[in-house]
Amino acid sequence: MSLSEEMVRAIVELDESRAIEIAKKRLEAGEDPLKILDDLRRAAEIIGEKYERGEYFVSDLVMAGEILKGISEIVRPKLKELGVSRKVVGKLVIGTVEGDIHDIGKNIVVTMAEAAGFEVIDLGVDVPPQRFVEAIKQHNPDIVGMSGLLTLAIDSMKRTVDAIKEAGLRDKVKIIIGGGRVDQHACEYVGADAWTNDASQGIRIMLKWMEEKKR
Amino acid sequence: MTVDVSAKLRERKERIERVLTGKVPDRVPFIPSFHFFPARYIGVSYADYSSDYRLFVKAVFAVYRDFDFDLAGLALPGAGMTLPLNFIFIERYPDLATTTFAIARPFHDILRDKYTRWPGRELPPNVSAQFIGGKFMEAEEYDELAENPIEFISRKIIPRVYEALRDPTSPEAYGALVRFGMEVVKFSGALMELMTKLREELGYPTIPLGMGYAPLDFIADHLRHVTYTLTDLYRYPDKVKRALDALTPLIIKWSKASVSLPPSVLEAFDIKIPLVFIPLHLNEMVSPKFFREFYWEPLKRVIIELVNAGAIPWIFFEGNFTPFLEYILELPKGKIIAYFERTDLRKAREVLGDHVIIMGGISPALCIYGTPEKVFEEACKLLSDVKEPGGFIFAGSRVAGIPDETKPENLRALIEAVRKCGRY
Ligand code: B12
Repeated sequence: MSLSEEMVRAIVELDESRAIEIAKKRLEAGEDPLKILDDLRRAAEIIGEKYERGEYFVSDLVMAGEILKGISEIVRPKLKELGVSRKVVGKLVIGTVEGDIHDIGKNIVVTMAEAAGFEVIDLGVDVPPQRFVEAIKQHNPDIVGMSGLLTLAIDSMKRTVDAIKEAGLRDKVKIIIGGGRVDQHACEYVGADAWTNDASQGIRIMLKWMEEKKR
Repeated sequence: MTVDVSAKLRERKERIERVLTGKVPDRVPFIPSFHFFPARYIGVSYADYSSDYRLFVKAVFAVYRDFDFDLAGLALPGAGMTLPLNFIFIERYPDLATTTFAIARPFHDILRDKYTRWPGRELPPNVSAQFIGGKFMEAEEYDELAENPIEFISRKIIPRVYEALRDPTSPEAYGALVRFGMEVVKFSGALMELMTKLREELGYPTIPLGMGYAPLDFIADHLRHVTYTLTDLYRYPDKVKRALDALTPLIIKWSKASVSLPPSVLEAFDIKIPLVFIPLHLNEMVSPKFFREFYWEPLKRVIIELVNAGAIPWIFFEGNFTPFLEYILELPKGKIIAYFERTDLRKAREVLGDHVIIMGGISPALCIYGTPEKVFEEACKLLSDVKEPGGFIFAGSRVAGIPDETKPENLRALIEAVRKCGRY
């Protein structure tokens, strides 16, 4: 098995020390850091699929997120040193909406989106509508992601979408909402383009949007 | 008590007792719980509701007066912050471990805890109180926790969590503790008054109520934060295991103490079967690799001890527990209430049959944004699908309580639905 395959496997098996050890070994051997990042994407995909199939659970996603983060933290300085950057598939502004501080799900989405090649601007938790609007103006993202676990978050999401409309930015971005209490009902009420209770499904939707945009 | 009120009391008591003892009642009982709905209902700010006990009593009373339920479930004007304090008293001052029940803003003002945020303090006046938890312990400290949990919590956790007790030998800390005690007396007085008014004026039966906790949830909520607790399972499983072994007996003691009432006290309640509310948090999140050993077994020990003590554990399974439903079959038959959030109740009934009393309700989004017609329809559908063969309690919505923003007309529709579609 190649080191690349072995690393992907260690990540998928959530063997943190082994995965990090291999990543370090690969960098020391002078391997292209972009290839390592690409492996992170592959590993994240497999883990996402396992989660969708009910083989993996939230704790697995959280642990996987830690490993992915750990490895990309080792890889990033190397990229800088070499002056290369990764091809960005799209730009995502994401945050947990106003009044809500749950961020475990959102953090998983951030890690998986980064692994999938998105540039992610994470606004954190309890983010008021105006901060989303400002971030759109400043970063010009393709997609806005909103997370919320409280039922009151659904109202915050609606207010955020309204604020985005009011600022005349609605046509510039696709909007996806996620989190435990979100459903079709909520999606229509909020006026988002898509909803999900599942990070990897969310990533797939976002990648599809980026494909469509390219055409 | 008027004739009408005592008839109501008898009717409700009978209904609840039947469901709790495995007999089929005349219809499904409706037991709601509330956070801030009562404040909205009588039009007071969340800030006032969580700090002025008179207003709190008035608001909750108004809700139970204007809507006809079967038992007063939990009504809490905020979020809990005292669990570590409760635990340290369990050996030497067991009465303090259970009576220092403190869920209101004044306790936050006195203790200045870092667990919670409150309307009119860290939050705008009409935002619901929040438990935010945090990380108050490093992974290296698990051994110390396991060695002697009471010592560790007293000496390390408490000064970190409660600003006012940061320096335990300071005048500030002594003062805070005295004030805390005084406030507890005030707050319990208000709760007592509420219970009495609900009984005497409205005919709601009284029932003893205790609290329990899943040991791994205690670590996640109060010591290590949810995220780190989950990763600790992969990184330091042995340490977590040892900490759980040390904490579980403590939690059992505390939880049992909350419902071990002397016969004379128990006698004073209308319904003499204590309920022990156990809200679960990590239940749906922990991978099956760890679930049994780290989550379920310690929790099961707590549950079984409570059942042996004559109580009915009232367990709130947060999130979607569907993949783990079979575990519930390991619990003593007919002795627990399984209150579900996002678990599919129809599936739960299929798997669990009459093994436990099932409790649940409809989508919170529907309660808030739906029309009364739609709410009625969904609730009726649910009731018809799951009420048989008995042993079902309607909770209104699928969260731990009636969502704060529920439209009053939708709450009325829920009650209608139980009347029409909950009959046996
Ligand atoms: C852990 C937890 C907490 C932790 C949060 C820690 C943290 N930093 O996040 C703590 C203990 C701090 C907490 C606090 C509170 N909580 Co809480 N909490 C939970 C719990 C148990 C799990 C939530 C979670 O993390 N799930 C796991 C993640 C991975 O799932 P997820 O967020 O759905 O994310 C997945 C997908 O939805 C998707 N996703 C998520 N976001 C996004 C965004 C995009 C763009 C995309 C594409 C995808 C996506 O990706 C993820 C992976 O697939 C839930 C119950 C439950 N099981 O849902 C209650 C729950 C959400 N909490 C609840 C409540 C009420 C509270 C408090 C208000 C309690 C209180 N009275 O103090 C406070 C809230 C403070 C606030 N203002 O937010 C209620 C909400 C009720 C309601 N309907 O409003 C719940 C449902 C529990 C209950 N009572 O039923 N809580």
